[in-house]
Amino acid sequence: MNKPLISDEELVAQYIQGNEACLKTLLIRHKSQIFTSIFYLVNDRYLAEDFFQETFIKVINTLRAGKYKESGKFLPWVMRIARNLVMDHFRKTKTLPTVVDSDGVDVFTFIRIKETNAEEKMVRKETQDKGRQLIEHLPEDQRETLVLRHYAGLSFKEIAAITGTNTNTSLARMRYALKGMRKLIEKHNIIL
Amino acid sequence: MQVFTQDDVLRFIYNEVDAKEKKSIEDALRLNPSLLTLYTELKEVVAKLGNAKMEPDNSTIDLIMAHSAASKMETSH
Repeated sequence: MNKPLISDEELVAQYIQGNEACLKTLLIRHKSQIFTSIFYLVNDRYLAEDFFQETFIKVINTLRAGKYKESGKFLPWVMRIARNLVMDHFRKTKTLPTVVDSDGVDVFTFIRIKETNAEEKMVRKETQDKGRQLIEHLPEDQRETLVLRHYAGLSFKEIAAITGTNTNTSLARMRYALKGMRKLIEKHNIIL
Repeated sequence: MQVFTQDDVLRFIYNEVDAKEKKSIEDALRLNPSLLTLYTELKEVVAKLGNAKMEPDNSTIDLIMAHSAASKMETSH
């Protein structure tokens, strides 16, 4: 990945000094990684929108209060906030995302995604549905590791810090997750 | 020849190795068919996962920016 012109830390520093545009830049830079990760953790687009918003409200409030102490680690810090919010939610509601088959996917809607045409919309929906169903089948710890590594772009070391394990455990979970997904792809002849 | 584990291959796929280790793993992949098979299998799944990225709605971004603007005003008062 190319090094950005202005680092996250520089943007954070300028935002704290009152430059609102820097937050927008951070959002544009990381929105896909963070949103996709949240989505695959909660399995619901609307919930994901809520958690994404709630995460950044926490980010803003922390930055405004001068309590940001994560120099050089903006994205892992944001992902830790998002992950903790999701975990708190599931702890309170005592539910975890459940495995559903393809016929059970009814609340998953892409109305709010911008597509240029109907065909693109259909292909995107099919790909995301399949990807989501595959990831849903993984055990929770493997799913979390896969999402944080692949979609959030965190290192195995950063994932270990967030999930309270060690790097070797994160690597093992990721390996099992990828092998598990491969088996599912082969078993069901899925084309992504 | 240095022996590499499955986790080393995984770190290689996700660019979590230094330049020296990268070169050693590349050499090992050329010489070790079973390691190359593992690499190819994992890499294929990783590539497929890349197609499923999503973005939040623009209205969510707008709400976040509105909160930021409001909190800036509160802070300055």
